[in-house]
Amino acid sequence: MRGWILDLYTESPGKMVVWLKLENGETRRLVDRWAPSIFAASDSRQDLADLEKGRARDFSWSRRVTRYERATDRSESEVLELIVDDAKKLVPLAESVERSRPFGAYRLYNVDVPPEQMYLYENDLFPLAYCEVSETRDGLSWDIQDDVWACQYEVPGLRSVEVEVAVEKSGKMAKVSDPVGSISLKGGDGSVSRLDGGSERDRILGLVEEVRRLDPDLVFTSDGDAFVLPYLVSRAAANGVSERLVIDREGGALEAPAKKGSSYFSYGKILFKPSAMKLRGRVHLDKSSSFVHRESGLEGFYEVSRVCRLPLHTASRASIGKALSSLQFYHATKEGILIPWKPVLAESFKSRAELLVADRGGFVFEPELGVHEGVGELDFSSLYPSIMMRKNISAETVRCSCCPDSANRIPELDWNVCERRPEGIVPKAVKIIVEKRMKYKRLEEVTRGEERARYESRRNALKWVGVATFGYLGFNNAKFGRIDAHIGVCAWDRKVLVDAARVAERRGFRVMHGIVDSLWLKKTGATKEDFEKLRREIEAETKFAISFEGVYKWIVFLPSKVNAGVPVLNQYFGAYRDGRLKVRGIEARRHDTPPFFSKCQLEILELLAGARSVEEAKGMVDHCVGVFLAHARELLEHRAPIGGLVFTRNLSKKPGEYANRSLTSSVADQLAREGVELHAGEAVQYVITDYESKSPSKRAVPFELVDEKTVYDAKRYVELLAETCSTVLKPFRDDCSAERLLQAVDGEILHAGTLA
Amino acid sequence: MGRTTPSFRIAEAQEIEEWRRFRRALPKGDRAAFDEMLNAARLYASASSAAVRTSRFEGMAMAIAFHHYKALAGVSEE
Repeated sequence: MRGWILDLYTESPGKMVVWLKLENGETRRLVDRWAPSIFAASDSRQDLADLEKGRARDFSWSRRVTRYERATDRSESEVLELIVDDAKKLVPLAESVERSRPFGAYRLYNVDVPPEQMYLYENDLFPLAYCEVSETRDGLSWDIQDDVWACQYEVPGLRSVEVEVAVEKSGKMAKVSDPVGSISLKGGDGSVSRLDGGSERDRILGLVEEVRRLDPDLVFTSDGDAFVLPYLVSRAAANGVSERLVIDREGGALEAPAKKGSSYFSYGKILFKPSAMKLRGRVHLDKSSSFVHRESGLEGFYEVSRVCRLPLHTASRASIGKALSSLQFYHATKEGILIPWKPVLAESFKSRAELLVADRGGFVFEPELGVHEGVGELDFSSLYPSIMMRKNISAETVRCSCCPDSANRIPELDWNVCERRPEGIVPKAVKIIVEKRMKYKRLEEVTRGEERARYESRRNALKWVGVATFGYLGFNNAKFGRIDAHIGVCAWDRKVLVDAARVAERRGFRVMHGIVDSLWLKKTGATKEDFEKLRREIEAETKFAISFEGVYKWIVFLPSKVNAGVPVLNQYFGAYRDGRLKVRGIEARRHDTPPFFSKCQLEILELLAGARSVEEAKGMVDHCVGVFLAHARELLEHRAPIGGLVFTRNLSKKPGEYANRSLTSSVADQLAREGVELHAGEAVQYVITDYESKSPSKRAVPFELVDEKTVYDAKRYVELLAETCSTVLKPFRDDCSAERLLQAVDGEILHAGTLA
Repeated sequence: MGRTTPSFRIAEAQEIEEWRRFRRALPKGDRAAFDEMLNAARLYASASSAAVRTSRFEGMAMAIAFHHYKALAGVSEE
């Protein structure tokens, strides 16, 4: 039979269940004979022999095989493969093996790679791959008729339903003990069914019946992992119908996860991830916990799932790092390289002097502060991934022991890069990301409408995976990461950016700003053609692809808010000659800015984008101040929508652990008092009600507790709005400081005048 | 893993912080000029970083001297 791979998971003993979506729209459950395994290596033959004796008790069977133990190994060595019929026992087995000898006696591999992924790697399959499959006596026989490199592939028509559950709240906040009010199911075809009659039990069972009738492939929820599905499990139990809460295709009752989730630290922030609620045979997509779906829609989600060989359930919740890891695991597995349980590639020793030279980031040219006219922008395309790919930078290739005299050397540091392995694991994994992105970009240029949007979503999703490649080289939990490779990429970046700037200077351009992979250049009278010519010269000199983004009518590089003469990197905004705006690092781009502020700031920027020159823009400032005043008046007259005034902040601690009384901590406390269980990393939303109040709980109110009686602190909001508007106006006219804008508010109310 | 040494921008901020007592000992009217001089170093952070000196103060001192040289040259040209 032929169809697309929809979902897969293990079943004990020794089975892999695969759901296939057939061409006629039906789904088929297939079972393969397959069991996951871990690998153990030891320097002592006796230790390995001892381990083999544990058969039957700890694992089903074992065999001696040869594999590359480490990515740096030049030959395979003998290791012991332990096959386990029950996937849940993989990690406990590894833990008990590790404990049975002093640490390091056994080296263990492939322990924490999800078995579903390993099944895909071993069979060269990927989710939504179109395959022909036949059931034989030994299990399934796969004939893949799809290509992971393809850009114009067919995605099967998947039936979807969005489940929304309304809680009959007894207090201000929804609690697990509150009954189910109503349940609505919105089909992908536009049909809506609403279950609000009868008892709570009837409504829950009604949901089960509706899901059975609609038989969706995709089930969308908002907050399904953290709240909706665990809440339904608990309500079914309260009504004595736990066993009948069946919404997967397997026929099993829905169960709450053993663990609610985990808090983790990423890029300076504490974040929280709830445990996944999987619906076997269907795909549960929780819109609030799916980064890839949020950033690039269903098409992007499918693309990441296919390219990185991650089951749809996993891909929808995966961080980009997890997606990238899966891609690296696939290539390692294909080459017979084992995946270490605990990464072992240590940083090579460096003296203090060497560390100072090596341990630096990408290059930055400090921006020239203020407003500039006629600046052109050139961006290197996927520079870091391209460096890894073209210069073969990978954990196992940088400073390898086999080719110390290699001709491929890291600039500044003179480190050797392996020549015997012409393509390391990281470059191999990165290749498909870089090349498919380029293919999609070309397809976007020759298509339009829905088709173009589809390619754009897929390219956007791959961009995120590409972004992760660099960070993962230096991440201590990455299986194929190593700081020396990370350092090597930065060293190449510095060389490429400085070389590009020198080419520009030779051609009479001035570097106005440069950061990692982008350059802003200026030359009096330079035309678009001059920039294009320069682009080609830089490409020829550096051998890396660079694109010309356009010439700005005006661009602003902002100073630090603390030191007015000191530039900040990454905060700029400008308008291209074709009217497009580019805004980075300022309030309108930040996720924690209240939407009302972002709207006002963008309205001002759009007005300024209409100006043809800096002079013209300066002439528009009065008009822009008018936009600010109109918004300020809306605030003061309490006409601003309260939903637009919401601040969003991530909790860095659990409520109660905060030492100082910030707005965030007071809001977290109020939510905790309402019975909401919050974890470090979860976001809270609030509206400022009385900023100056001595009582912390009066200063702000959680958005969930906002009702018609809530009155926001108009004065404080106007102050903050003045700061937001000053960011974009002050560079054009020095008297537009936040204080002066506030004076204008007073003046306007008293005298109906504008800023002098 | 991650970075072991701080970026030059961070190291420079630390160095400036360490000169706080020097700053406090200055007459009030001199403090703004002192801040301005130290901030001039920040304008050349990339170059100081590229110079890779074991003492962060060396990169800063060169940046300040260079900034002043440029200013002087400008003035004498006028």
